[in-house]
Amino acid sequence: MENARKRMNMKIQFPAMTFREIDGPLTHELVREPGRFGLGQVPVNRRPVAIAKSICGFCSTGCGLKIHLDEKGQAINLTADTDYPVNLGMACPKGWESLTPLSAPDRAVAPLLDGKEVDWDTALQVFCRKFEAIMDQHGRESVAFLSTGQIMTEEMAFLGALAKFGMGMIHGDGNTRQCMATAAMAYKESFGFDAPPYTYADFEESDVLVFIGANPCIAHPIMWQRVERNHHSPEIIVIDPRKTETAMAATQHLAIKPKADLTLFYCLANWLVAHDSLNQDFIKAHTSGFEAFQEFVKDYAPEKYLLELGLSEKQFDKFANSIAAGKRISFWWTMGVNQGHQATRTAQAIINIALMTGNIGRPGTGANSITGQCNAMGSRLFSNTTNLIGGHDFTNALHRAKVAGALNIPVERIPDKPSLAYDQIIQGIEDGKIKGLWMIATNAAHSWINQKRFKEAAKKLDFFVVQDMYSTTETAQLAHLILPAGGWGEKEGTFINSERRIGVSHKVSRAPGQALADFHIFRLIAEYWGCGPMFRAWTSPEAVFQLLKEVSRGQPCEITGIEDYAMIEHSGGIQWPLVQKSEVRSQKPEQERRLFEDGGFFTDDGKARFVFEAPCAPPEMPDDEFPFVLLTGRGSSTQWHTQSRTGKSAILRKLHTSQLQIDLHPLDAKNLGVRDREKVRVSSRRGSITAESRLTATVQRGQVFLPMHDAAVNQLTLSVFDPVSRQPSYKHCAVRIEAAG
Amino acid sequence: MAALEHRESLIDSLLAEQSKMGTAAACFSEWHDSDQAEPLQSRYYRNLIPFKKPERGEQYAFEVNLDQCTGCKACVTACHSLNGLDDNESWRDVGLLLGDDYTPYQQTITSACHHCEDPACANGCPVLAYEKDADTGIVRHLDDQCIGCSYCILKCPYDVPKYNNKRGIVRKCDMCQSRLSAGEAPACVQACPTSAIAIRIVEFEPRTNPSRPLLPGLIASDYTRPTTRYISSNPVPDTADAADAAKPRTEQAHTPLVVMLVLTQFATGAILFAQNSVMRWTGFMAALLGIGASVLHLGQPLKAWRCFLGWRKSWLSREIMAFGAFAPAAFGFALNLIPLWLAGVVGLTSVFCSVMVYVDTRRPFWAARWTAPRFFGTTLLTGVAFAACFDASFATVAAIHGMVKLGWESLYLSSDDPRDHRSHRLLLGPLRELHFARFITGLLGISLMLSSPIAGFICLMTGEFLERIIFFRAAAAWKMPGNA
Repeated sequence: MENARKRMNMKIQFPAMTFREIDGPLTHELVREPGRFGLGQVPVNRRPVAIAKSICGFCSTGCGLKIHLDEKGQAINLTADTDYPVNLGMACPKGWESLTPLSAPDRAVAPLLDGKEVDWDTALQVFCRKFEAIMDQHGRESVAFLSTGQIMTEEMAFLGALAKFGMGMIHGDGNTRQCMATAAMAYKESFGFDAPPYTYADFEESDVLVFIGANPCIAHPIMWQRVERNHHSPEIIVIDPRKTETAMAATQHLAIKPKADLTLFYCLANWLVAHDSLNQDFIKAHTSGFEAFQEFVKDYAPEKYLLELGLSEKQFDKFANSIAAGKRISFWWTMGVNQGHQATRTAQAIINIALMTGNIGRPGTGANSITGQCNAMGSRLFSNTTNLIGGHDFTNALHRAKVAGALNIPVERIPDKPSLAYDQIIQGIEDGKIKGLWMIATNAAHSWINQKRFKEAAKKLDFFVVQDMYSTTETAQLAHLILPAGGWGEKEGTFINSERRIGVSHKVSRAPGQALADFHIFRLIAEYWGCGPMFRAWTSPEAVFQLLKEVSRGQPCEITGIEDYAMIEHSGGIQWPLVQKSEVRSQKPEQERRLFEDGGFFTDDGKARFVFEAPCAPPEMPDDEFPFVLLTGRGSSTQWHTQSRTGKSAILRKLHTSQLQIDLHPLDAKNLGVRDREKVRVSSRRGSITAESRLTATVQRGQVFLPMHDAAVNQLTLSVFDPVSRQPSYKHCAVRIEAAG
Repeated sequence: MAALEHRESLIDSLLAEQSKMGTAAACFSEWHDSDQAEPLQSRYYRNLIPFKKPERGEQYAFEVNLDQCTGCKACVTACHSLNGLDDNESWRDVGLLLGDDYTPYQQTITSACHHCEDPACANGCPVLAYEKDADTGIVRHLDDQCIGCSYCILKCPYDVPKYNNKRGIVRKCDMCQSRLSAGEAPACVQACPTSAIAIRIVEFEPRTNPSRPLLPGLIASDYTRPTTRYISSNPVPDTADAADAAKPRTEQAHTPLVVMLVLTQFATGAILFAQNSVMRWTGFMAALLGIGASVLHLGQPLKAWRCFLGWRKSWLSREIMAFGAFAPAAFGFALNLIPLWLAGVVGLTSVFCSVMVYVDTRRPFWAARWTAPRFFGTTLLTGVAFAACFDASFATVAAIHGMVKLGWESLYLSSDDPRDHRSHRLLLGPLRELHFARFITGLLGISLMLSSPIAGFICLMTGEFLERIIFFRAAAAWKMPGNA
């Protein structure tokens, strides 16, 4: 009876008294008409009256979008921006569906105190009273905040300044710890500043591209678009244990053993030294510490390590010869590198290869970290968490004085010690030292490694505030107080993308109920906390942007040359740095700029450093009890992190598997007696979950893969952190698989 | 106190500011106000659409370069947004092919309507709601002509037409016809970041290997002659299979059709073995009820009067016309105005049309050798069993007939044609209980028939209804590779 039931809700049309109804109301619904604004045809029921431009709020690619507005200025549709230099009129499915999550039924529409709706005044009073009480009793270090890479630069700057300078907190970190801390630390140590050197044009200019632990085909499809536009018939080398979409598209795939990348690059360095394939001029002029590195890699003769790497001699030689022969080699890495037990050293092993071959500062080159979240780069520079705002150092008195001056705040308000890292904050909660937590736009109860620890820690908190678009996230459900936030599209501000490009996003949709932009929430908290006067100048995102320009003065990330948002928009986004020049004003900066073109780095001596350390085995190797290595990663291009937003779009949901599936090698499955699409139990020492088997030889024997978007997956992962960057190692732990019929 | 008031008024002013709209557009709309002759995006898709129109013997076709299709799925969302479709609606879909046990291989497959040379959807439509455009070859669905019978969904071996619940009709890809005629690229072509989808002009010509499927695991292309070309520098391995092959989708039950089929077949049987006027009138009533039930299946029943239009090609159109004749024939027979042979022939003709409706879809589970015995079997079995209620001498025949029918149905599971594997999986997997219940009811009916024909008849009828539900639910459709 399903059709009969469906018909109850639908309109039955009366027929015309002709044999054929070529046209009519149903046909008319799908008519397309010229949309003006250079758009081409658009659906007749969604013709825009005006257009606004914004930068996408999902990933760090930072695509330009054109938002189609109705007469009230409300967004009704969107298309990708043809003229924006990042994406050339393209967007991935998440970008196309940016507006859908805004109208989800589970939006937080009022502050919720212990599950009951309260007004903003009550919520803010409770917020201040509770945190104040904890800090009065247990000191400034007893309260912490966890920020995000998903809000605007001006907002995260406000949050960091408010929490640390205004409210007096010492500890605050961001979810960027989970994705980019490694790259930031690696660059800082090697280049003297957290400075990804590239511009997206480099994808098109290289003759050799090396992707390490990166699957841009689905994780950054619009960057892959640029690779496809490379007209130099490039050698594309993918280093990944799995035959990913990107590995399929590569000319060489090195399916190394998980976490063998550090050794691989030391072997490559050894080979390059042995084959005299070095750029001695560059090494001498622009680097320091090469002799020690050369000495160190003497032990890494490739032939000794082939078994450990999981490669044949032929594969390694072909790879090494490609690097030796390449004229413009670019190295690109993401989470496969950043999330490891020796992540920072691995990233630096890649940087070392770029340095010793002189592949940096020229078109098509670079040791390039591809960032994750839309504003991870903003967070790295301006969130006032690990670094003092603007890429400064909390322990440096000169820096504190400079920032205090630029922001017009008393210097003694600036803590002189750095914050604890994310995992140390969680540890602090477990140890009872941290009793109050304020979490903004992130979902730790889903995403934190060995999730159970976070969930249990959260229960120990005296006061836990979650500020989010949705009251339904796994984390919001644990909170005492939920502050309803406006999302992307409901506020304005800037993002900084992977290639250091600053772009502006606008308010194009009305926030539901009492939800407020994070920026407004911070203004209110400043007022209620009693530190309003300190933030008198922080009246709008653009006003804060002007302050951040001042803060950046003299730093490698200086942006004093950017006048205002309008200049950013007219220029198609602006990459940092852009230093103010007195003589020329309002000139459009070049659209694609890379760092280190003059060979000068940001270290004290201007030279890049070779940093290295001996590899060690991952802490939890497979054994008889847990014989498989569990790899995790992105499942599809239509899913974003914990799915709090992408899960709200019916069309995106349709484009990924409806159940959690575990990739398992068919021959391993045979041994386990597991058939394709059967329920299996996946257990680690931390937890046990069920998933559906998907048999595919794209994973190697002895390895299994789970997409990270399902809340169950981080019940299995192991709390291991890179000692340098404190970034969690999501991509290696031991599990057992059993048929669960 | 003043501070407190200030705080509260700040809340109010920020809430007011939050709800103020229209600030974003004011700044930028003037940049774009000019009506451009050519859409901005055309600079990136100009080479992906033909410069000229198709000539005689040619048509437009999608060409997908698999080397460049790397799994981003932007085409699906762009189709959804640029065509103003419903929340979960898109006319393009993306699935996945995986390699065999020893081949690390994966390939995403994007597909929309293949705008076939010989479109099965159009051939099956009883009301001619499809039109193959003479100039472009685009297979267009006429939304206002559609009666929502869903037969095109059963006919299309690529799972293209989709039923739209809200509207009670089917909708599908029209290759963005209006865009192409304005020199613009279809939504999916415009939106592919790697230019993997193009529109090309192809010739109608006898293929060198017409029976080869578009991709491994699909139906042989000679059924509809799809025009989409999948090109690749590395051919798709023959052993590759859809990622969802091991978990076929359980199909819809189509309850009104179950009722219609069983009752019209019972009606024919009751007439053929009519012993008395009770059987005659029961036959008529069953025919009426069955045909009535079929109306519940339609999304736009008021438009169904055009159902004869497709009679030249559509077995559904023919079935409806046969039913149209059967109801008065059964009535005439009940009134003794029409002889048995005439009512019987009309009844059997409509059963034959019913068989052909399903055989013509080419679903392996609905092949003639399985469907004809089911439908004619139901006719005879229910007819004889009903007669046994009045004359016990029919009971043995009914029991024997029931055994034969059950035996034949169970033989399906022993078919080793790989095309039958998906239906096997459904019968032994998600439909296991239903399948079991069908055989138990059948066997119970047979044994009861010998002692208590009325109880046996009720049981056998129930068994036939279960059999027909399984008939629909286990009929694994041909489709493009899926995701999950």
